[in-house]
Formats: sequence, C-alpha cells, structure tokens
Amino acid sequence: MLYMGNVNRIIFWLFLPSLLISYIVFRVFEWQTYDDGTRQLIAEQHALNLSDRDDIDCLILGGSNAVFSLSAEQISNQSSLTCYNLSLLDEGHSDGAYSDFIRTIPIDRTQIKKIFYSSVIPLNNPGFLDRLRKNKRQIGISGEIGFQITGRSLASYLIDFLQAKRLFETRQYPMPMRNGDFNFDDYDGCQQDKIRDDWALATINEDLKQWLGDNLLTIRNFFPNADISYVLPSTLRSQVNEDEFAKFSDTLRSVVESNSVNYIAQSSFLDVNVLCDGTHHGNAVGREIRTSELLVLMKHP
Amino acid sequence: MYFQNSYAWVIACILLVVVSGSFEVEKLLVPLLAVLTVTFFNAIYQLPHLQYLLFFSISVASLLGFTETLTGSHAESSNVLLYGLSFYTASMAYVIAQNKLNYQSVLSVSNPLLLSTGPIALYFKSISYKSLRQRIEYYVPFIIVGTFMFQVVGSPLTEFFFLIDKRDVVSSLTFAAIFELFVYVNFCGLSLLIYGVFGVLGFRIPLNFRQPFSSSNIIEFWKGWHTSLSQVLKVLFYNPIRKKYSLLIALLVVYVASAMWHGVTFNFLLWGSFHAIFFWLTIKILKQKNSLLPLLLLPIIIVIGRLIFADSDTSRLLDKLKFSFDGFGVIDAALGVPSHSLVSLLFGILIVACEFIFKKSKIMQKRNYKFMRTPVSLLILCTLGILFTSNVGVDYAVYGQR
Repeated sequence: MLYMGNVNRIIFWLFLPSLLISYIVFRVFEWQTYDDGTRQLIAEQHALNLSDRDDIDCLILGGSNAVFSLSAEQISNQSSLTCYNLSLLDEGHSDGAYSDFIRTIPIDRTQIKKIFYSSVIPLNNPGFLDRLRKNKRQIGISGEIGFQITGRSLASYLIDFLQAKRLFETRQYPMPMRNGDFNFDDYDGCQQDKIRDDWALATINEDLKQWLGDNLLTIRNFFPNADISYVLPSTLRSQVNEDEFAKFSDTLRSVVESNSVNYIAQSSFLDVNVLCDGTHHGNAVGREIRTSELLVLMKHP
Repeated sequence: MYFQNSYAWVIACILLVVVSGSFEVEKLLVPLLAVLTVTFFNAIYQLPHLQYLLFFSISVASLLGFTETLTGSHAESSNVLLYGLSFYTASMAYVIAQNKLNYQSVLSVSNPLLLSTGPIALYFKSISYKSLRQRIEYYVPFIIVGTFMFQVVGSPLTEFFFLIDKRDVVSSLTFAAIFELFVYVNFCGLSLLIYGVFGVLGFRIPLNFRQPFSSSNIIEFWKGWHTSLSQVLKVLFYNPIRKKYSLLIALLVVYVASAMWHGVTFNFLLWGSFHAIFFWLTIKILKQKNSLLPLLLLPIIIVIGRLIFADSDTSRLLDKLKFSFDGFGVIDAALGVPSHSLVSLLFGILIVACEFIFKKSKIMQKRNYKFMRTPVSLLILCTLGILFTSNVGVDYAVYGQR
C-alpha cells in the first residue's frame, strides 16, 4: 500500500498516455498504407472505355449491386438498347463523387435514352446514414483516404497476424470489361460462406425521400432525354417478411414515381449459390438471372 | 461569470466543429438567439406559465412533424433551426421555475456541446479554483470511461438493430434488452465524456447518470437515469402537483410529461403510463417491507419499458405486446452480427453486471462510476479500447438528434 499512490500515478501519467500514443501511431501507419482496391483505376478505365464509343444509348447506374449483378452486355444482346454499365462500387462513396464521375465521362449525355439506376441505399437505414455522413465529408471515389481515429480494429489485425495472413492488404477488384461489366474471370474474392443474410427493412423517412428525390433529379439533369427507371435490387433477404417488404416496396414506388421516374422492383435472390460475396452481389449466374428478370420487367413492369 | 460562460461557449463550438467535421453556423447561433429572445421577453413581460410552454414546445414540434420522436434509433431531424430545442427549452423551463433565468444563464443554456449530447444545463459552475493538474486527474478518467462506453461498447451494438422488425416474444425481448444496453452506454457514455471535458476546462455540469443499474428497485433505477431530466420533471410537475393531488396522479403527470417530451406518439403515452404505475406499485410494495418483489420486477419493468419506448410503429408494437412465442430462431440471427458487436455486447453486460452485483460495496456508494475510474480499471479499459475500437456500427448521440 505504501507505494500504491506512486503506481497509480505511473499508470495515469505514463501508461495511459503511452497506450493512447501507440494507438494513434498505429492509425497513422494504417492511413499511410491505405489502398482503395483499384477504385480510382476502375473509374479511369470506364472513362477510357467510353472515349471511343458513340453508340451507347443506355446506362446502368448505381452501386456494387449493379456492378456485380447487372450485365450491360446481356441487355445489349437481348434488347434494342446498346448499354454500358457505369455503376461504381459503393456508388462512388458519396453523391458528389459519383455525380462528378458521371459529369466527366466522355459521352454525349443527350444521346442516352434509357437509364437503370439500381441502388441499395434506400433499402438499408445504416447504409443511408453512412451515405449522408460521407456526403457531408465529401468522400471521393477512393474512399476514406483521410486520417481516421477509428477503423478496422487492432484485434482483427491481431487475429490475421496469428493466422499468418498478410496485413494491410485490401481486396483488389478487376478492371471493367469493354461494356463496363464486372469481369468475374479476373476476380477470386467470391466467398459465399461469409455471406450474412441479415437485411432489415429501412424506414422511409423524410430525409430518405429528400435524398432519393435529389439523386433522381441529378440523374434527370444529366440525361435530359432518357427514360429513367429506379431498380429495386435483388438481395438475399430470407429474414424479411414478404408482406412487410411488399409494403416497403409500395412506399418506395410512390416516392420514386412522384419524381416522374419508373419503378422496377426485382425479386429476391433465393439461393446463396448464385451470389458472390454479399447478399446483393450476384455471381456470374446470379447476374444472368437478375438481368434476365430486369429485361422482362422492363417490358412488363 | 459572463467571460467564463463565453469562454466555455466558444470552446464548445470549436470542439463541436472539430468532432463533427462540419461547421453549421445555424446550429450554434439559432439556439443562442432563441434563448436570448425568450430571456429578453421574460424579463420584460414575466409571462405566466412560460416554463410549461417551453417544456412542451418540443412536443408541439414533434406533433407537427418538425422533429423526430426520440425512440433512441437514429432519426436525425433535418430542420437545423430546431436543433437542440428539447434540451434548451427544458433547461430554460427549469431555470424559470427556479426564478433564475437571467442573461448570465443564456450562454450556459445554449452551450452547443450540451445541446448536442445533454445533459440539460441545470447549472454550470466554475471550478477554476482547482488546479489544472487536479482537474486532469479527476476528470480525464470520466472522458476515458465515457469514450469506452460510447465508442467501444455502444456503436457496434447498432448491428443488432435489425431485430426491431421481429415481433415474437423472444425476439422482441432480446431486442429490448440489447437496446436498453445500447441507449445506456451511448447516452451515459456521452454524458460522462462531456462531464469530463467540461471538468478539465474548469466547469462542473450535472452528472447525468449515476449507475442506474446499481439499484434494487425501479425507484432507485430512475434516481440514476437521465438525472437532469428527472430534476426538471420534479420541479415542474411533481412538486406542484403532489401538493394538491395523490401520488399516483402526480406520477402519471410526471411520466406522461416525460413521454411527451420524447415524442407525441402512442408508444410514449403507453410507456409513461406503464412506468408511472409500476413506480407507484413499487412504492406501495416497499411500504409493506417487501424488497424482494421490487427487485424481481426491476428487470421486467426495464426491458418491457424499453420495448414500448423503442417502437413508434404502433401496429408492430401491438403485435409485440401480444408476446407470441415463435421459437428461439432469433438467437441464431443475433449471433450472425459481426464478432465485434458480440464482444461489445459482452462488455456492456459486464458493466451492467458489475454495477448491479457490487452495488453495496464501498466503491459504488457514490454511484459515480468510481469502479471504472481507478487507475487499474482505466488501464484495462484503455487496453480493451485500443484493441476493439472499430468502425463497426453507427455512432450517433441518441439524445442529440433534436
């Protein structure tokens, strides 16, 4: 007990600040080794692909669900449209980044007759909140490249280290094909066993309506001659009650249609075997199924 | 005092801008101007019952749909002009009831940091007579404990929120229990953090939580939960009504007023009545020298109360209150969340368990989180904190949305 006071002071004035400093040093190191998983290069490749195309009259816009699960090639082959898949992973991380990306793409935007906008953001409240946060912070296509006080936990790095996995390695995505589609042949990241079927229906509040309306208006301004359809993406959602989902979809339909945009609701994925690495990321088979359904729904909504 | 309050106000603005990463001048100035205007008119006209008008202004805003209800789920109101309304109006209502509203209190009532997280500014006292070293040694531990509760324990628990959709008894009680834990670590964590920050800066503000789970019955629980609001309710409603009416009526008015402050919806009305009745029942039982029954009722009241509080979707809530059994499938679903969320759940349960099990020990007597503020506890919290701090889940202030 005699030296307890000194021990307490040492803990408070020496150990605790040392722990805090070590943590910050680690985060700085993590920040310096940040890798965007080829997101910026993919955006540049899209621009390159479109630089010598003047036949495109249809675009697929949206996030990773459209990257993985919609095929511009299939739409082009099975309809009169010539389509290009301009969707980006994480939908460019923020609305500003994605609209900047679309604005700078070298195409004649007045020539576009059909837009499929497929986004999971309205389906998921945490995802929507994350989107608003990233919009506020004006995050770019490469993601959170700035210093962050929180991030992947030290514990998970430690587990990887103990399992002799390589640390600070980000999943690399392949370059898009000539029609913008995802190249599954160059991707080995499909892990069906890690897919968690945990969709919870979002609440469509005023903020979400406002956000969706603003985004649809941005797309309309970009493509004044296009017939725009918002596509409710297919997801694996066995946890969600079908009646509840139907109600949700009806509400979303009314919001979308109030913005003079068509609404297409795709059915859920029923089998994890048609997925790649997430509930809304089809694999090559899932992509074919979802695109076929979209083509049918396009003709008979 | 003007200078000190101004200093605290400016520092709070800077901290808020740095932490939120955005500068929204309306959030800083609108509450200040609103409080100043009310203070000015009150000084001239001495408006009768102004405190009640102020207290229920958030209820009117909620009823008209200008602000979101405060169920604890993230639902940030986009109307920046109403930012902080619930806190500064409650704060002003209290100081008016105490005849203490003056121009000195304007800056403390509208302090942006308090408006973003609470507590309600019942007082704002200078403690600059204490040396900086003393303040650091006493208040920094609150910052560490608060950060641990809010960030390490609280945020990852949001991954369990999908359970709100499930209506069977096991799922809804599981969700309610986890949500109770989330609201506690989130709100208490931020309150301790703010308490520590102001302490280091040289100001003492109310300690908003006092180990509510170190309780043997629901009365003791409420003595430790959101104490600043309890104090406002006591001064505005309980004291005057109790003089004229029975205990049950006074409790009903207090809890329904509290419910309306959180939002004007069916679930809050039910929640207020539910707690008032059980508070009253507990008093009656305790008077009969029976302390076991209130202890057994405590977890039931807390969890069912939270179940009602959390769900403003009336049809879903009514379905849940049928308590229909549909197996234990929820356990598999709950175990499917990221492992960080399960670790956070374990930490949260440990904190609550420590509060409850050791409630009679000496270190718990003041109910001021001393057990987590000892140097060894802090070392453990910091070590766990740096190991498990992650970006899993969503971080927001449950009471800081309006």
